[in-house]
Parts: sequence; C-alpha cells; structure tokens
Amino acid sequence: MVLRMAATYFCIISHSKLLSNVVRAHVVVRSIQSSPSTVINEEVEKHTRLAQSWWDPKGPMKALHTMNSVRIPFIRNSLCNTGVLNEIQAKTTQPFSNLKILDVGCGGGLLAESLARLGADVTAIDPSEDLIKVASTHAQANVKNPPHYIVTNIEEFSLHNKNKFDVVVMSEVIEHIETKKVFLSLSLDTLKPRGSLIVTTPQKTWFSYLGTIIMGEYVLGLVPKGTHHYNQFIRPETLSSELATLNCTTTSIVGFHYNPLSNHWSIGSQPVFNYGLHAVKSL
Amino acid sequence: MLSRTLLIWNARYYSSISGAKQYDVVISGGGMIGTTLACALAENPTLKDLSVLLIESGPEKKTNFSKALPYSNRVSSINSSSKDLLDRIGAWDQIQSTRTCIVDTMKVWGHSSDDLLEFHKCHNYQDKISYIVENDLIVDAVTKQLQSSNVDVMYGKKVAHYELPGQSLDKVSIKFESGDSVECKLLLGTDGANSQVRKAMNVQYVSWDYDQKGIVATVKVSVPSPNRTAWQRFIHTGTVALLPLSDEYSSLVWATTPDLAKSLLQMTPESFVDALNSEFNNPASQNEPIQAANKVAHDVLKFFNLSLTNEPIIPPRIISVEDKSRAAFPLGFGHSVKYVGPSVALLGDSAHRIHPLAGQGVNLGFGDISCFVQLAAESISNGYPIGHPECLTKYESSQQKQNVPTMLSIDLMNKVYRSSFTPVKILGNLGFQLVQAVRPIKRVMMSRVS
Repeated sequence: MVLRMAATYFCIISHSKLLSNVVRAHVVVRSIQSSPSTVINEEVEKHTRLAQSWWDPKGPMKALHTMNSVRIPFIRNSLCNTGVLNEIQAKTTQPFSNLKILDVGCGGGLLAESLARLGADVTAIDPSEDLIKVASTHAQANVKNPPHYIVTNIEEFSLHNKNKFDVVVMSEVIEHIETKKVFLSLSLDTLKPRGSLIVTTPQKTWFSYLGTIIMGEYVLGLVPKGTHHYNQFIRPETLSSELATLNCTTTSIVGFHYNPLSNHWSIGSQPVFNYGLHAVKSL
Repeated sequence: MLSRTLLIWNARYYSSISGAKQYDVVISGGGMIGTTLACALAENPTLKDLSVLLIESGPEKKTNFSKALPYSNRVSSINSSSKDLLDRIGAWDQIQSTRTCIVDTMKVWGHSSDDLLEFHKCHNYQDKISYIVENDLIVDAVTKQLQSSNVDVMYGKKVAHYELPGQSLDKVSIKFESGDSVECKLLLGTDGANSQVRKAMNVQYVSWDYDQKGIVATVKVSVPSPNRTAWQRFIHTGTVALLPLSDEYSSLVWATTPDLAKSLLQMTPESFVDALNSEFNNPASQNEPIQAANKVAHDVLKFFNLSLTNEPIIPPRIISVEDKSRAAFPLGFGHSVKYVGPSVALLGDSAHRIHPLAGQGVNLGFGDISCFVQLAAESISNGYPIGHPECLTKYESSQQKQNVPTMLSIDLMNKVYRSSFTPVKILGNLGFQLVQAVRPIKRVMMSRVS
C-alpha cells in the first residue's frame, strides 16, 4: 500500500511535469499570436528545448512515450467492444486502417504517429506551431502515412470539419481546458454519428491533489507554483455526465497506473491515478 | 535550436540513403538460438512484415540429418516451453519424427543414497520432464524452417565492426570484412558466449571459469526399458550426468577437473567405461560429521512426516563408449549486466553462459526468444517502431528476473558439491534432503527445470 502510494505521488509529479510543459507550450503560442514582446523569446527558447526533447524516450516526455502501451490497447479494445473493429482486424498490423481519427491537442505527435503507424488516417491538431513542426518532421522520417498536422484550435477546426471523423482522441488534454463543456461540444461536432470519443486524463482525487500540487509544486518544486489548478481536473463520473448532456453515451472507463521506477504503465479497472474513457456519440 | 533539431532528424532520415542495404532487424549469429529467433520473428503474425537478415560467419549448414546417423555427442534437454517454441515455428514435427527421447524421471544424488533427489512425472502431474534432442537435429529442423521463411540469410559473412548508436531508435550500422555494410533499426546479438555484439555494446560482463572441463560422449547402457531416466551425480570432482537417447544409448555430460578430463580423453574406451562406471557406483568418501548431520536431518524430516525415498539407487551400467564420440570443452559462467542498449539486444549465450550440469543453457536461450518475440509483437501492435526502448527494457527486466536466479542456483549447486569444506558439504546434503522431502520446494525446482 505504501509502495503504491509512493508510486502515485511519483506518478502525479512526473505527470505534472508533463502538464506544466504542455501548459507553457500553449501559453507561448497565445503570446506569439497576440503581440510580440521581450517575454516571448525567452518562452520560445524554453519551448524549443522542450520540443527538442519531445521525442527522446528518456527525456521529460518519457511517461507519455510509454503510455502508448496502455492507451493504444484501450482505444483498440474500445472500438472492438462497440463493433467498430472486428476481432480479426484488431489483431492485424493495421487495425485502424479505414478509420479517420482526429487527435485534439496532439503536442509533438507521440500518439498520433503511433495511430498512423497502425493504419489510421490521422488528422492531428495543436495550437503550438513549434510542436506541430516537431511532430510533422518526425512523422515524415518515421512513418509511411504520416498524420495531417495542422496548427489550429478546436474552435477554428470544428467550423469546417463537422461529422467527419470515426474517432476523436483527446489524450492528456482536457485537464488544461477551463471551459470543458464548450471544448467537448466542439470536438464532438467533428465526430460522425455513432463515432467514438476517447479521453485520457488524470483522476481528480486527494492523491492527485497531494502529489501534484503539494509535493510537485511546494515540497519538491518540480514545477512552478500555481502551474496546476486542481479544480480543472475532472472525475470520470463528472465527465461522463457532461458528455451525457452533449448526447454522448459513456461505454467504458478504465484506470491507467504508472510505475515511475520502471516507467511502465498498466491497465486496471479502478480509475485511481489516471483513466481512459470511451463514449459514443448518439445519432 | 529548433533548426538544430531538424538537422538531427534530417541526418537520421538521410542516413538511410547512404547506400547500405536497410533492414528492420539484423540477427548476428546463426546458431541454434539465432536461427530459431529468425524463424520465430518470421512466424509471428504481428512481426512477419519486418525485414529480417540473419548473419552467420560460418558456411551454410546442410540440412541432411537422418536417423541413420550415429548419435551426436552434443544434446540438449528441451523443456516444455522450449518445445512449444519449436512447435510454433514448425520445427518440432521433424524433431519428433526423427528422434527424441522423453525424460519422465530425473534422479539426482550426491555422496550417498540419502541425498537422492528424485523428480518424477507424477510429482507435478506432467507427462514428461523434458525431451533429449541432439543439437544437430534442432539446428537441422530450424534451418529447414528458415529456408522456407522470408528471412534473408548471409553465410560466411564476417563482421568487421558494429557501429551502435548512442541514442534509442537510431540506426545500427554493420560493416563487413568484405567491405560492404548493412543498416538496421534493431540488432539482435545471438553470437554466443564470446559475443562481438556484447563487446560492441561495451557492457559489464561478469564471468568466471570453473577450472573444470566438460566431457561429452555417447555411451551404450544397460538399463531397464524404456530408458527414460536422466541420472546425475554430484561428487567433489564435479558432476556426471547421463541423458537417455534411446533404450540402448545415453548421452554423457561429465564435468570434472582439467587433469582428469585430459586422461579421460586419452585412455582406451575400456578404461573410460570403467572409470565412468566407478564414478556412478563408488561410494564417495564419507566423513562422520556429514553422516551424523544426514541422520539428524532424516529424523527431523520423519518427525514432520516428510518421507525420503529410501530405495537404494541402482545407477545405470555403461557397456561401451561410441567410437570418436568423446570430446571436451571448457566450462564457465558469464552474465551480461545489461541485455539491451539503444537499438540492440542480446539473447542466449551472448547474454548468459551457465554450467551445463542442469542442461538448462539452451532453455534459457529459448526462453529469451519467446519473451522477446512476445514483447516485440505487443510493442508493434501498440504502434511503437521496432527497437523501441519500451520493449527492450521490458525484455531485459523480465528475462533477468527469470535467468539470474536459475543461473545462480546452478552455480551454487556446483560450488557446494565441489567444496571440500565440511560445513558447506553438510549444507549441501541437507539442501538435497529438504528439496526431496518438501513438495513445494521441489515443485519450484521442477518448474525451473521443465
């Protein structure tokens, strides 16, 4: 139990490190877009350093690298459960071929590229120009059918891409969004009727409060104070009921557990630290 | 900064246009482990699309094994998981239909019959403990499977230099003595105990020699039919083991001192057989403390109602040794501290070398293959490129957890039995009795052996 608790702390701390980076990335672009100032160069440099290490499996993004070993099976199993994929196709090397997938907030493309490698026709959007550049450069050299990377936000993108995708994925994104309902609603607009929404995000528990904010920001100082807003984390039941009001039915929720010592993830039934949610858009 | 990043990636991208032939996976070393690994990759539904090259420095092997050949003196004890692996790649049918021998009982003893450790099929409800198969037959069967696979093979190809990347997912470049080169995303080293791949990885390698030589030979035995018992005796000069080949023949593995080994190789077949028979039959020198300790242990085990088999041991009688089947090889222990590095992994003897006393060497290697192939398939189906550290580190931690305890216990058994220090000997004897009497301990040992 003690070990598991310790693991939780580490999990959340390392996670918060990722979050802070992502948050910074988003901030940067907004400042670029609004008005150039002296602050920008400094931020851009920070961001570039981050972009450079994005694809380093041992770098600050290492937990996101290994997270594919749970989020890809979760996506595949979810699509099997709702009959989008048949069992035979799911076992091939290209299980996602014939599927149009949108990755909202793709960052450096860790998930989008893997989805493309598994045959999906991926569109991946992120407001950060630098990260999209990193993502698309990496994909060009490493995957046969690279994702279509676009620098944009969901507000702009959803205007012209309604009812277009079989699957919308938002992985480790929604915890950075303040107006979640609007964000979810716009994302769902891009989904075909009966399409699948996949969300992964940290759980909102006192574990994450202690780990992320008390330990991560105040005790260990891994991230600047005030990086995280605990009240932006969302519990699966809250997310599920928000989705219900948007005409979207939750079909499964699973827990993702992270072991910071081995940097390995595992899937469990209880959403304790981090979870994945699958919902289907009604007709 | 960003442009530097782009430059790095561009360099990585364009390196593939350097003229060298590109592969996803290169396996260096085409012995039993390398060839089986190549077949296992080619057979796996998730991995079969990978381009695989197998490099072997020796000449192409002829696949002409037949029942008519005399028994070869190098054999392996194939446990059920190794058998499953050979079955999966389609090689087992040929092996079984050619010649194998089932082992359903294993009798291991030390100085006296009190030390008898008997593993029998009924103890863990298994039909067999293992199969004894000639190494040549395994190589023949897996080579046939390799020929019908889509794996590229280069024979007689000597590697001049392995250029391993400093970073994960970068390419490995392999330069040959003939001047040409190939590049790959993942290099798998199956090039044996003196692995050049391991040397290129520059990892720490823990090793020691046993100051022992292994003698192998094919011998004719007189045993009750069917011959399905593996015999092994631990004595202070080493161990002597007989593995059944057929009702008439058994294969000998005799680990002994270098001096004795030398004379055993030189003596006439008749004296060799005499020496061997006396090694199995002679009561080893007993000393009083050991006998006393054995008696106490016996009484204690009886008190707890844990019985020891009290049947006297009737060791097999050796009739003759086959012509030219005697050979010697050095024995040693070695373990690589790391099994993996960026874009490289070691399997089989290149990662670990053990004392052959339990016949486990090849099983550890086949265990590496099964584990690696399963993890690689999982990793590919999760969208990772081949050679991703996520898969490599999982392979390393899983196999080290599996191999290190087996290796160390075999090493310990060997050391305890060769010790001339009385307390150590007593401990060894007690250990034997305890394992024999207490079923759960025995089951753990059996699960390791079979």
